[in-house]
Amino acid sequence: MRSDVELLQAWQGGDREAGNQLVDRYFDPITRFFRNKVCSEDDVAELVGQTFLGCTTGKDRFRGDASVRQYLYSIAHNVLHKYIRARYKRQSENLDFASVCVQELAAASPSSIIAHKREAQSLVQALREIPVEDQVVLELMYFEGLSGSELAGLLGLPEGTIRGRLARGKQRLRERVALLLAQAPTQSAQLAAVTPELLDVWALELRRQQGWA
Amino acid sequence: MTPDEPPVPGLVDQLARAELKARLFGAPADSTRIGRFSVLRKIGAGGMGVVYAAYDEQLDRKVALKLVRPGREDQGASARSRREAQALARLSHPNVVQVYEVGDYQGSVYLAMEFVPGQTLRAWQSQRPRRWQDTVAMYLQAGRGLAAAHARGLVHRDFKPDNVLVGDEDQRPRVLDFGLARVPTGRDPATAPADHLPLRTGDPNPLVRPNPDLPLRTGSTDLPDETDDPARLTTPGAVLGTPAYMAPEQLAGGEADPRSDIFSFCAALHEALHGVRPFAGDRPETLRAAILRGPPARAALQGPAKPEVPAWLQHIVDRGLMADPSARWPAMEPLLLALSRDPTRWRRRAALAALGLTLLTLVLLGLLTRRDHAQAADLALQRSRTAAAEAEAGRARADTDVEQRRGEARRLAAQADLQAERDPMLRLLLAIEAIAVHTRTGEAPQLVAEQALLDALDSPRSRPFLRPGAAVVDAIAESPDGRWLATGERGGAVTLWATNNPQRALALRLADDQPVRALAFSHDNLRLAAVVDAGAALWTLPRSRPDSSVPEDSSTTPVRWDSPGLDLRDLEWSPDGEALLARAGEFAVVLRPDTAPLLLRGHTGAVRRAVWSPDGTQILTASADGSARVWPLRGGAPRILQLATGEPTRPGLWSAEFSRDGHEVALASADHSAAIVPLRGGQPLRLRGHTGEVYAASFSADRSQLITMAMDDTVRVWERDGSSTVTRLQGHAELLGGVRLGPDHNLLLGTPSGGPVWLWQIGQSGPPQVLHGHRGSVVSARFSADGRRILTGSADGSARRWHIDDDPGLLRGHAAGIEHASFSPNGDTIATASMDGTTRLWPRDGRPPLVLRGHREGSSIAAAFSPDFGSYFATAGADGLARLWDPGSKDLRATLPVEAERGAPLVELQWSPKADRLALAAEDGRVHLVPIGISGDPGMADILTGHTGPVRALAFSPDGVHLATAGDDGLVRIWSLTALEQRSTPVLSDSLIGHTGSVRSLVFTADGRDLLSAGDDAILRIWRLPNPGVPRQLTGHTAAIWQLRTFPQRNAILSASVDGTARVWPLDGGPPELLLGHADAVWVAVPSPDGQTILTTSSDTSARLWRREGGSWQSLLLPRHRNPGDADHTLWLGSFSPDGRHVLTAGADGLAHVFPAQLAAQLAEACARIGHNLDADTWARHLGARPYQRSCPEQPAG
Repeated sequence: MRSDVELLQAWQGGDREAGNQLVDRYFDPITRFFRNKVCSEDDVAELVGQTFLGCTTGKDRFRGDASVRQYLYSIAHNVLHKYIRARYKRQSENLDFASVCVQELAAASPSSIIAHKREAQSLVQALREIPVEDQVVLELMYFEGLSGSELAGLLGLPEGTIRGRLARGKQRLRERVALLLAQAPTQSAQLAAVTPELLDVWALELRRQQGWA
Repeated sequence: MTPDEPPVPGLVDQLARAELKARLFGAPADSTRIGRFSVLRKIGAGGMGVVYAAYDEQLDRKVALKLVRPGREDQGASARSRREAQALARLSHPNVVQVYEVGDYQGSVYLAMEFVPGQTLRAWQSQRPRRWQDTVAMYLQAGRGLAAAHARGLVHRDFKPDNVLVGDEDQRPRVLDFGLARVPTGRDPATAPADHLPLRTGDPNPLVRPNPDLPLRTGSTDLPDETDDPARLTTPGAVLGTPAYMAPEQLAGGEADPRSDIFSFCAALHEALHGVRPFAGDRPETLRAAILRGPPARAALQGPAKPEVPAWLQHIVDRGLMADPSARWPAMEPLLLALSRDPTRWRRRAALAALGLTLLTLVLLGLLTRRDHAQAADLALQRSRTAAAEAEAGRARADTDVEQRRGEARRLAAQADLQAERDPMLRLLLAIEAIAVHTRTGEAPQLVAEQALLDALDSPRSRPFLRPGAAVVDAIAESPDGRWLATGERGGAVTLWATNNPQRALALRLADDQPVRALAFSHDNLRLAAVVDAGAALWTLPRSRPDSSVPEDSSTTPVRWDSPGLDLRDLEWSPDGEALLARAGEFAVVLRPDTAPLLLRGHTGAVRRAVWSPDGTQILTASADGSARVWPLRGGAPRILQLATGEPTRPGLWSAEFSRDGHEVALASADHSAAIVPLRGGQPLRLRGHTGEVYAASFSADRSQLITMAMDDTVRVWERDGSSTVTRLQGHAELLGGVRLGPDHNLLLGTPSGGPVWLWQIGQSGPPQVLHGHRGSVVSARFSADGRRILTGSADGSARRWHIDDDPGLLRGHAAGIEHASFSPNGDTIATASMDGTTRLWPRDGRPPLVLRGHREGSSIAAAFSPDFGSYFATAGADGLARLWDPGSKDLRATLPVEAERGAPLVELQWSPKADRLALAAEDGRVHLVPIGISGDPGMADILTGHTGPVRALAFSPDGVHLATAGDDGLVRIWSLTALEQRSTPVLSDSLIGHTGSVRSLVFTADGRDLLSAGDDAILRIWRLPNPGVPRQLTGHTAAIWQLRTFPQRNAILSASVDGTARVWPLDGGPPELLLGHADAVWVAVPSPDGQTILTTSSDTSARLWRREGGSWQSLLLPRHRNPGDADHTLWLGSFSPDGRHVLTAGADGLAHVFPAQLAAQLAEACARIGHNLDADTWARHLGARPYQRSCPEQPAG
């Protein structure tokens, strides 16, 4: 079985079968990356396509100094930023991904991830309402189960920066989830507070239920 | 499924991956398969799932495959989808996307549906600017799909233009994505997962910030309680519906029922018509608040750059957008019915539909709705009444002679009825005689006889032209200006008549056994040519009219242009009037004065047609030798046009014609094809499709189409791309010489062997209209030059001129239903105003009508002459404008309101008795009172506000001091106008309460002491002025009263009602008299000026004249002449001329009829149509031993 690097290089050299296998390996995580960050379901397929296409046509050719996984995610990141810029309502030049969130995009829709339970659903939705930068790292953590150091390696950022984003992001996430849950009185017991542990639990359930293993 | 097992990766993901790979690496050898379907590509992600185009390999068809959304793989969802799909699969309707089957594949549920290549209705709407008519047509069809689903207990819940597909090929809309359909089945225990959290009703979905564009997602929606409605589908996480189109009860989280679909449907239709949604709101709460405020005001939707949507249509849509479901349309069917109806009919029949008139018809006449049956029933009714009255009178009467006469008259009338469809002339005669039986002795004729006469007059008008001793009329022609008619007989006689005087014949040529073969008037109306005796004889037409001073048999000596040895056929003048063209055998022949005939030689077979080119420099011939030739007159070789034909056994061409500009030639070939040949280069266009020999081919007026007639009994209209529309001519096979096309390219004329003339209309298949009248077979028939008349020559020696289109009693010209028709006060003009936005003024002296284009097309118009000699004519339209016209010219005197701003639609107008003011009633409840100066200048209007809802009726008191107004709010208000003298606004002097429902008509008595009002509550109220208290109430009608009139000669009031009757109410309090006979709503009941007759017009398409006889009101049914192609004949209007001699009726078909109201005139018309009296033998055959009499004055015996 060939390594990722071997497959990628073979594919870039014209080997279609190699590309096929590479897609098989990374289709799911890349799809998950975009799933909760777009305006409509069709956009997911489009952005996934652009990401993989970027492998073979991108200007930043793979130099073999990072993992294929990192490479793919960085392309996906760029694709995402371009997508958001195109759709940001206020049309400003300098989009601050530390403040803009997906839900503010033109024609933004609710998430296309449908969860069974209300809590999980509010988690999903709240992720769209925090800054994109935070959403990226949180989703990679929640949906892919990556650790802080793995994230740092993946995104090519210092671990300290990653931890900072994670902490800040979680805080904001808890607040958003609490707000969303509070808007609908439920018949079950009122939740006192949304703790980080609860978030983890819900995220885990979500992963299982969505089949993200 | 246990929560711990990872589920199978969703099918959707699999397919997405496959698509990506296809994109990156090219299409794979094997496409992804789902069972027996192979997936082609994704075509969209909808509300409940993703849709793919797939191919069903087993059934060999393309389908659309819908997969339930990923993450839904739980039993509850599968069961739900399956149930939904099964319900949909049971529904089969052209406007619903068909669901073929539902199935399971790897844990996912799929639906296989009809694959419709096309676009969504939203895309269709924005593809091009759409007229509201086209939009409504689309929504009507989509609505039918919804209605079909409702009929099966399904509710769509998410109707929107994105959920309707318009097929590319057939442009048919189909509703899809019944994703939230409810199924009336028992509950499914699998549908309530334990972790389900209920939502309290009344809360909007709290989890998301809804965007109006996209579906709402919820954590959970419906109440999953055990005690809940088991028929509900609980769909956690499923789509509720698209907020922008959602009914308020849905937004609140409540149940959706068919009325919620109606809301969504109307919201979508509103957006389609106006380009904006009816309600805006970014959250469910604000959206609901907007809905509760009601549909947008009409003023907000109108404007210069905004689309025009008729008010009636807006009302339909607005009703569907009511916040309260019970205020909306109760079901799709009545909504669709309203959408599909003609606007004014909808408006006028609103009362009708609501009151179930069909029930009334059943009660009145027992299932009889057709006019003939109704008439027969009436006749039977009347005859039995008269018989009873007769019996009564007979006992008292001693005079047996009178009895005998009455019996004879009845018998003659019955015999006349029997002649319907047989011999219309005899029918007229018998009817005339039935009347004359009495009138000769000074008695009044019986009703049955008069009705027999009217029925006999109900046929196309024709005038006979007969020369005593005439032989078979083989040739007939009319001058282009319509002044002269010429006949040529088999015995050689040629006779000339002035068309307005059939009595005086001018003998141009006497019989000499040389048959006359053809006749032609020159284009300049100066000469007549006839083919006779191996040549042509030419006469110069008299300059003056023959009734002035020309003696009867002044033999104008003809000039002869001889062609010895040639048996000439056909005759056509050259455009410059210098030469004649005929054909003889294999030659075409050009005749000129003082020169030998020019023979065009070349054809090897008989020349079947020879025509001049439009500029007169060429001649075109078509021959049995299969070729057509174009001969330049100035010399030079002819150009030969030959069509390649694969049927050498079929001989030749039957006809050839130039196009109007002379650049193309149309050929009709015996090989079943026709062709258009360009004369200036280019390929001929061959038109194939007929299955019989094509014997005629003509260009349409604008040259864009070709019309062909063939022996396969059809007429085809061809487009330039080779496609054609077919009209089957029933009865065509019996025709002798085929069919002629009228100059307007619309009517077809055919002469079967041994019979009358037949008339078809292109585009309408079916039996022809038969023109009965000749006593012998028709042997020659043609159209007049302008196509408005037909000329026939018969074996009975006479010619007839039929008024198909220029009947002076038929006012034809409007393109839509007529809403106003009246005589001017001096009776010399008739004004008609139509929904086509125009008003026409028809002078009674025969001059052509004036067309006043003052209102928007589609606009209803109210109109009236000013009461003072009709010096002005006012119109007021639904476009909010009122205009004042000078009837003598087309001049527009003024436009009201004086301010340029357009207001609410105007519904009604009234002149003050002194013609110094106009009152205009508007739909917004206001009444504009506009002073009109002597010279017709309007002043500033006073606006009377006081009504809520449209004002429908206006009446000035006879002294002009008061104005009464009333309308939909049921209030009658009286305004005092004396304040106007002091230049201040009128004062409301009284508000009269009593009516429930709209008031439709107001009228003051002539002495001004009483005001009468009537309307939808069917009670006539009499208010005694000046201080009316409780009104007198006259009850009797069982449905809305539409119109009131004073009946001064009988000191009574006349009312017309939707219940099918009119009533005469004596003002002194006696019982009302009933006018019973119509089968449907009576819209108009007016007395004649002398008070002896009442005219009523009804939705049953008839107009009746009523007279008081024997203690009850008896009616005569007026004839209506029907032309081929005329559609809806509902009558809305009727009035008498000021002198009472004529009645005017008009209605939905855009035609106005003028008919003599009095017997003497009707008799005169009948006699004129017959043209002769019966001869003694015919008399004996029909009238037995009665002594022979001449029924009509001064007619030669026939």
